[in-house]
Amino acid sequence: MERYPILFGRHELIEGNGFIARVEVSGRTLLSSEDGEEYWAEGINPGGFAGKGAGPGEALASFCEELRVVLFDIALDAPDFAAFKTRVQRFFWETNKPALREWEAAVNDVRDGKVSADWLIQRPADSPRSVNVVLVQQPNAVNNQEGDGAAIAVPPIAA
Amino acid sequence: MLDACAPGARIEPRQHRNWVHYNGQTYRGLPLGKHGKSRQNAEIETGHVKKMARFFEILPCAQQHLNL
Repeated sequence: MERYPILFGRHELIEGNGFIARVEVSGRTLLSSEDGEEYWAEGINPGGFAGKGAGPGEALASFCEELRVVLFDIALDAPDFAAFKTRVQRFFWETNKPALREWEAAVNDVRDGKVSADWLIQRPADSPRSVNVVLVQQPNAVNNQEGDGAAIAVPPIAA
Repeated sequence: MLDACAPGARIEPRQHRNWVHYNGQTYRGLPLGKHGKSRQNAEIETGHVKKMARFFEILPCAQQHLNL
């Protein structure tokens, strides 16, 4: 059994009904595999969806695509930007509690040296999680950002 | 399975995925299955069903009903 506590950041441009929104997500996902042949990335914040792949990279890529698809589906019947923003915020804060419990245990595994993921950068497990939904009124190339990508959550350094 | 393990659950087909509402939460990532929405009771890969059941905290019941 492999499991990795992942922190991720994504910026998505979503067309809505009469608006364009930029959705900036800093969230958590649990990346795991029971057999080393199929990997799953389960959303924690936001929860309620997952991606899978033959390897960790594929699963995380699938997860990101699934996130976009959820945003597309939210946009479809949101009558205006305010409704879209409210629904995206609700989606983000619906925590996947069982996956969160495993994620926290996985952070402890990282601390205890049981998890090695040198293919990921590290970020403190208590990094802020947030969703920001911005109405695009004045498109500007300086707003094009990728988001932080994926990182493994490590126990924060005690003060 | 949902009738037995998540009474009152409601499936809402969306354009890209099925949404399942239960107990004040919504799982928004259930694939539509082969052929999209045009089939009733489409077969959905068990892995996705398992993740949904875990999200709703009904996995033990779902495992009994679906041989997950």
